[in-house]
Amino acid sequence: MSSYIKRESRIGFLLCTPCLLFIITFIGYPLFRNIFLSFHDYNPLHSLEVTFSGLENYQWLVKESIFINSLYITILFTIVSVTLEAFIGFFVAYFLVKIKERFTKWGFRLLTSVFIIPYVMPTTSTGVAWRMLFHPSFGVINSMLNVKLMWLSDPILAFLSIVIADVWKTTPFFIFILLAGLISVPTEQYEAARIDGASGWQELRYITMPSILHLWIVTSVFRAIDAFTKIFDIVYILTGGGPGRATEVLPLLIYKTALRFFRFGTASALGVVAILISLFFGIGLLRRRT
Amino acid sequence: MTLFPVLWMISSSLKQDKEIYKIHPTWIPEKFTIEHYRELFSQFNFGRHLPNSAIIALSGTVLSVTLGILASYGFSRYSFPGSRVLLFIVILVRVFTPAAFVVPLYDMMSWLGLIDSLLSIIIGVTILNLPIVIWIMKVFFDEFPNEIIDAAKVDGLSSLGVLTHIVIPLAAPAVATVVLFSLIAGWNDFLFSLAFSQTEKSMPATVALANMDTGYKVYWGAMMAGGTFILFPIMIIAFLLQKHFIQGLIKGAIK
Repeated sequence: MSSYIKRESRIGFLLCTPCLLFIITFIGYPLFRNIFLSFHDYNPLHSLEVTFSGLENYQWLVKESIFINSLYITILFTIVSVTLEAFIGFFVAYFLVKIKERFTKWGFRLLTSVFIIPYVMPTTSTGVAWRMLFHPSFGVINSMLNVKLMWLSDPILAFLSIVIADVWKTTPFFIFILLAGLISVPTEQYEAARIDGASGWQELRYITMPSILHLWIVTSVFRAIDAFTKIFDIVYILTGGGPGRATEVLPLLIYKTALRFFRFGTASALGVVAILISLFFGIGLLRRRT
Repeated sequence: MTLFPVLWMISSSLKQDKEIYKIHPTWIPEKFTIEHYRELFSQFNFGRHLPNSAIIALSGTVLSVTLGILASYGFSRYSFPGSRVLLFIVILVRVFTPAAFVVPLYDMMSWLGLIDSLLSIIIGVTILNLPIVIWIMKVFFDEFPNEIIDAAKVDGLSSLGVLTHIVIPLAAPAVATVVLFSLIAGWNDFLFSLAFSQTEKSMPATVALANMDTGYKVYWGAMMAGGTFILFPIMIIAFLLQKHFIQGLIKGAIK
């Protein structure tokens, strides 16, 4: 290697070093510790001993319905939420594009600003606001629908409530991305269609949708991964896991096992499984792109 | 529809307690009061929690953006043995469940004596942020025209000089986007804050808000006030940097 290339590659390496050090210490080590602990019994509340227990934790996972239940809830939640967000997001974006002509640049900016709010709102604020909305006695939702539903105390309703809150919060993700995608569809296609006499519906089906399909799917996959792995805050505040365990999503289960019951060994096993699932999706995602 | 919960939260925060509990809720408070906002600072110690939130957000941003920009520039512009693998790993972190890290990190922080310290939360937040920073900045650096860099080198700038004097100023929009995302993530953080903070020494407003449900009584008025209060700074920042925000979202999804 010439000395120039050697020097270049050294610079590149140096640039990455601080970051890599951080990653190795605070991401790499925890990962391995997780795997290590998952094969041990470690309950800090009782004793600081870490005793080897082989596959006990994993056997517990597979046998106990708690984990299976949580997995089921999380998957169900992901599917329902993302589907709702994808469709509502699309329609809102489509609608926005249609009426874009009627606004000035600033007017349109103002309109889209409104949609940013749910997305950047702290999850705790969101949780708290919706918690009050869903309150059976003085919550607005019950009073507006004129019913007396026990939103947070009924298993199915509780599940619905976290779906609603999450859809409210993250639909803007779809709205903004799809909006950009829709705007970039070349207008000549629309004009040509109109000359050929296409109706609005046909326009939608044959021009709009195909051009947006790829973007839509990619966004949905991203969102699904995030929904599956990062749903925690809202559930913690709204239902704390459920009535019973009706809304105990996986991240919440891991957290509770770890920091409420202090069963670190079990929690590590849960963590390892969660990471394996994420890896599975992550690699699938990366493969499809490259 | 979009603003509905937010407006309700604001409206409730201004109502007297009695009015909050009414069976048929009203939108416009009959009697305005700011007592809940006062409660935030007198009873709930927000004067301590809000600065904590701010410190976490700012420090987390500084840390993740610095580490991230250096790293993504390195990955993008220079190839060295193993760079592709490392990049792959970094991106992979984005799809991990943060909760899975809680156990070993808590253990680690405990051993380091960092439980209930702002630093532990800042580290947690950086872990969440780094992949996004690197992802977005790498896209930017990849598309950066070589001619500018070559021209600068011909003019005699060292590689580091190129980075600081040419690339970064031109990267301002991308940097703004990344800074914005990191700030939002840091300010809104809940999982790591909940896990690592125990007293007001390190507890940010997010957790304090959740704690208003004490198990005995739920302080609704203060909760709504707190919720509104926490929302405000982020909302303003997001409004102002809207363009960057949307572009960031898009770049993150498309590439």
